Amino acid sequence: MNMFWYLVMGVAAIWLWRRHHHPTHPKDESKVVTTTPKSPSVPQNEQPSQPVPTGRWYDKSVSIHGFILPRGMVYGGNGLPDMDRSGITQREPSLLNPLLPVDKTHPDRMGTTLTYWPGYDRITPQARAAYLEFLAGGANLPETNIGYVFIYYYGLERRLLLDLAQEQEQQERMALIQEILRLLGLFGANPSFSRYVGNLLNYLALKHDLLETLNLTPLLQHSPDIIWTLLAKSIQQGKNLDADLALKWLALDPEFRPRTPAKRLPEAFLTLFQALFDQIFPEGMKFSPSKSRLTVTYAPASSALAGQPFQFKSLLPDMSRHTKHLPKLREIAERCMDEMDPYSRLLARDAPRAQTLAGLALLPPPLLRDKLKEKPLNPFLSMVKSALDGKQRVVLPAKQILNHWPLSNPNTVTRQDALLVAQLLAKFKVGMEPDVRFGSKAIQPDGPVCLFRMSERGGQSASPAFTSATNYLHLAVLMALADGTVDHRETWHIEQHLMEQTDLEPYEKERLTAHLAWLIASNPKLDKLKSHLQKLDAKQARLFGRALIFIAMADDNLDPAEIALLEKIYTMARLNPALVQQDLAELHPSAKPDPVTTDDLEVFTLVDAPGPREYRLPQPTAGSLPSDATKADLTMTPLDSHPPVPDEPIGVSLDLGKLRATREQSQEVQEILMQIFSQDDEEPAHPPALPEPSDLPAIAGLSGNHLHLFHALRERATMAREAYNDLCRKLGLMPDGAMEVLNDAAYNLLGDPVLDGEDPLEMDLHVAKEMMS
Amino acid sequence: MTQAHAIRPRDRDAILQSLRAGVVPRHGLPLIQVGRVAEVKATLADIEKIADGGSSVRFVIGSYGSGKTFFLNLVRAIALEKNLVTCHADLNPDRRLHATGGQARGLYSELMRNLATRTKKDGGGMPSVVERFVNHAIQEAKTHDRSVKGVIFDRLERISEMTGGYDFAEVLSAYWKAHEEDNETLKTEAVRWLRGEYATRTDARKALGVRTIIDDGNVYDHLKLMARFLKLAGYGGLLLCLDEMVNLYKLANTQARTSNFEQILRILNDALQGGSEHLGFLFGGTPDFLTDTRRGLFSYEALKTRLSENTFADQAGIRDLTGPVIRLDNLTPEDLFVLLSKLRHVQASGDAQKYLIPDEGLTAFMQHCSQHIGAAYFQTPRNSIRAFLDLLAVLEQQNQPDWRGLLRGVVIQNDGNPDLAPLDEDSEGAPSTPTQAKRPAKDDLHEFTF
Repeated sequence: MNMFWYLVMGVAAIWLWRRHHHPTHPKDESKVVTTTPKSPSVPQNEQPSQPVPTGRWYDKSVSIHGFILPRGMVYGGNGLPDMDRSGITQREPSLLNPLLPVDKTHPDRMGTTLTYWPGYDRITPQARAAYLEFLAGGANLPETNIGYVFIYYYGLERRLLLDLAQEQEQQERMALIQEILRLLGLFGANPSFSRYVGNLLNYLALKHDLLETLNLTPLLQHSPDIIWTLLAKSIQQGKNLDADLALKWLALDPEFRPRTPAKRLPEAFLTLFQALFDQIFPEGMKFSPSKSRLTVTYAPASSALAGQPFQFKSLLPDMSRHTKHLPKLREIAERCMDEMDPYSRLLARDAPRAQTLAGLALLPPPLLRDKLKEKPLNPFLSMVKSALDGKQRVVLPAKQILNHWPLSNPNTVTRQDALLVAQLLAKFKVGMEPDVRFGSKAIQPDGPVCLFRMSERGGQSASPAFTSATNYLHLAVLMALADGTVDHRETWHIEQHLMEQTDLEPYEKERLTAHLAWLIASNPKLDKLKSHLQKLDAKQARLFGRALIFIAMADDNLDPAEIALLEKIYTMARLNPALVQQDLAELHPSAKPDPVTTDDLEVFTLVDAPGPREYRLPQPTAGSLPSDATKADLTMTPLDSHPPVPDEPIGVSLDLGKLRATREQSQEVQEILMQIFSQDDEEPAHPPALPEPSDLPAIAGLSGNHLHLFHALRERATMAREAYNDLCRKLGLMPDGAMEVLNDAAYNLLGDPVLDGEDPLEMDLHVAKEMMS
Repeated sequence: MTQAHAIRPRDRDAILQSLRAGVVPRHGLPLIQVGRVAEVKATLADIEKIADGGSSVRFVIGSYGSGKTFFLNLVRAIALEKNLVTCHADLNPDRRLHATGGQARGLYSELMRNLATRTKKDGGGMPSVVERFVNHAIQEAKTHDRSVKGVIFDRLERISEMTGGYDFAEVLSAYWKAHEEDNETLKTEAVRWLRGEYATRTDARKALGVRTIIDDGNVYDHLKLMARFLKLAGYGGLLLCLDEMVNLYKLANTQARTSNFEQILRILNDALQGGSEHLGFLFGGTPDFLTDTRRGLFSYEALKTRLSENTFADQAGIRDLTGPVIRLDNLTPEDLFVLLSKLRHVQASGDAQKYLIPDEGLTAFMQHCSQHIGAAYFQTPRNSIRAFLDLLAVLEQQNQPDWRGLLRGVVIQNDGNPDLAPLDEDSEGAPSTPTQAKRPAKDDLHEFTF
């Protein structure tokens, strides 16, 4: 036994001595791989008594079996020290052992004889020839079998992990890393290879602090360890998280799933994420380091090194378990995807249209930036700019705008077209009236539009106060038209009145002023009213007539022209014109102001104290503003508000029941007014409810259009999301809701969903079939 | 029907990826569920009660790593199968039940973002439930030749009378209008309102013309409203899973803590007295959160009396699951063995021929873990599971899997309890306003306006 240990120690001493005299980093240019002549190829379970390994690293040009390997970067010889350098040699798959036979006549270039774990010592002589040929050619043929590439890689890996484990060999280390990156460029398509390379570079980058010197390849940029390292470094340097790193971090979050918009338009997603992130965190996101340390592990590809992963515990904080900030980032990303969704869907449905103004109208503002100087946005914006010409608002023919717009039918403007025009303009803080979002009809191609500057962007819907105010504008303009024209004085008064309203927000006032300008410019004719009026029943017509009388007599003065107009309108509404006088007598302020006791048709309450929502008609004389005390106020209560209760009772006690009735009637008037004036179109025509498909099998839980949808889908294994949406649209169904209903039926019948996935949708044909049986 | 033994690739990947990342998977939980039969049965009864129009509250209490989150997700998965809608969120300093600085709204938003139906298991189901409701309204409007808006308001009549109900109906009809006009922006705004993402009333009015928003003060009312709405839309009800309740325990400010506990009391009282319908709550927390008499729920007398467990049952060694508290025991080594074999089964996509490691390997693995981290390997199995799946992943790449060779290289870390770390949290006195609200939004295109 003692003899054995002496032997071991002896061998170790010789090996150390040789190592000293043959440094691993030879200065001389080695030309030929040599080995001890009698040493056999080295078996795995070699006994310590066997010859000392002569293998070493060659970092310059080297020759073997007549092949000149220009780069070197290989191990050559009959054996190499074990991992812990205990002197025991072992099988090293990358070691070029010159004693092993090479069959140059039949090189196995395709690598057909290679096994899963190849090694120079265990491949066939034919494969060895091919491998040496590959190295001699500079290891740069992309079609080379990945097995050969791995044999080469094993050597580089071993050199980096074992021989160059210390800091001082930075120069050689960088050269080897460059070589590995070169290989990655050629063979990165192989997932296994790129994974090993990525992991190795991660490990080295962290261990040897190479992040700054290493030019990060895309592979590394998205590697978790690298991102966590970058995060940790950023914290250590006291920096806040920036958008770029934030998004990379988010990409590692298993809870985060990029949806179609982010996948379809990755660059736009990045831009938008950055914009939104910078908006929310102008100075970057603050975060604190975690207490645990970042550890990076590399499991080597080489079988000689496998089994014991290389682990490096850094001094950097480990951010991989730091999940506190991820929800915030997810939220930003979700918002980005939501905002990109409309454009992304148009792109899928109709790519050419996405390039037009109609498509750009769907883009969130940050994504419009780089389109500003290009067609079609640039000419359109120039036109708008020159039209506004520094003014607050301008009325111009609709044609001027529509000429730029890609209308599907040049003679009509659909609500969708009008919506997009308004949405695009709003991104540049320009408003347009009429605007379908605020209750108007679509632009008329031969009519006017009013463009105006908005002090803030946004606004999607009319508030009840806004709707009431537009009704007021229409009535007021109609009355102002009694003498045939609306003059400046009248306009001034109406505007003045709008400005006094306390329940309108400034942005609503801006829009209403523009609405007024548009209304006057569109020169409403009484004749146009006729068709609307004729649709009213007698009661509705009377309510409308009385509303007009209120407007007309608000100035305590009814001139004959106004009375004539009122009579004309009454006639149009198929009411007896004589009723004008009767209603006047009832509603005139000189009549008893007793709103609570008036008849059933009483709609408007006369109040002394200004309520929260009143519309007072202006005095006709220029310069004098309406005075609260002298004049009747017209209260047009919005649909959902409570009627104003006067601060002081006006001599009568209020009956709550009647108050309620009054409120309801006010609502009724609102509805009539909305019906008459160019308000929101009637509800868009739905596709008709299809009859129950009697010739098709009925399915429990599905009826009507849902059943039709099921039958339209049931034989399609997959369907693009857009096609599905279109199908639902044709059937008058909302797509996500319809999916719920279909799946519900399937779950109830069979316990499995029938539709799955986002885009494309997958139909479980088996389930569909079962559902019908 | 799909084959019984086959495991869907989606489920398999979700399970493996999530567990390797150290988080509880969202899909396929029944495939890896171990034990806990009584607890599951108790919550199943709750789910049925919710679907029948009742309400329920449960506190799932277990120490760190005992599988609370897993259990909550499992119950969630069951609830979805039973046609309930579920929402889940973790509490944190920015998400609480009661707050004045937007944190309660933050919790509501998170819950609603994670709203899931059995078709949309991953969350993001808000548009789906709204559309399902509106689809029915459209059908009804067609059949009776009425306006869709009118039908929406009629169907929501009961809801309209609840807090925020009128505007809720307005927003739904805005969603419908947006759909009809293909106005995606308006649609998004409507969904944002429903998810409680508006910070100011002005913004909500601009976008949707409504006067109210979901804010800190009415979060619970809106949850009740949402539960009723979901019932009207055709679902069984709403199950809310609130995890990491320990964050309330960690609140430094007494006033803030008490307000949150009062909110819990209100929820509990409502559930016990029938003040809420079709609504269930599952709270996940550590024993400290429940029983600490200084800062836990038991520091609040009214909650203590309602939540104290049945001492007689304890003495008799019986588990009483009729009370609102469910205590989760740690896993045993036997449980872990079953779990590992289930993971092996999932990894092999349900095909026993493809098992990468024999039973003997499982025991050897457990032994290896035990040597490294002691009993923690089965009590808080998160890291054991991670290491095991990493091992399987390497074995999968090998041509001739050699688990013995790899086992000695398996590195396993002890799982630190982050709850022991102090909370870097502000006090209620200085609420952390979301950064978003603090700074005026920069205008993206300001330089291009006219």
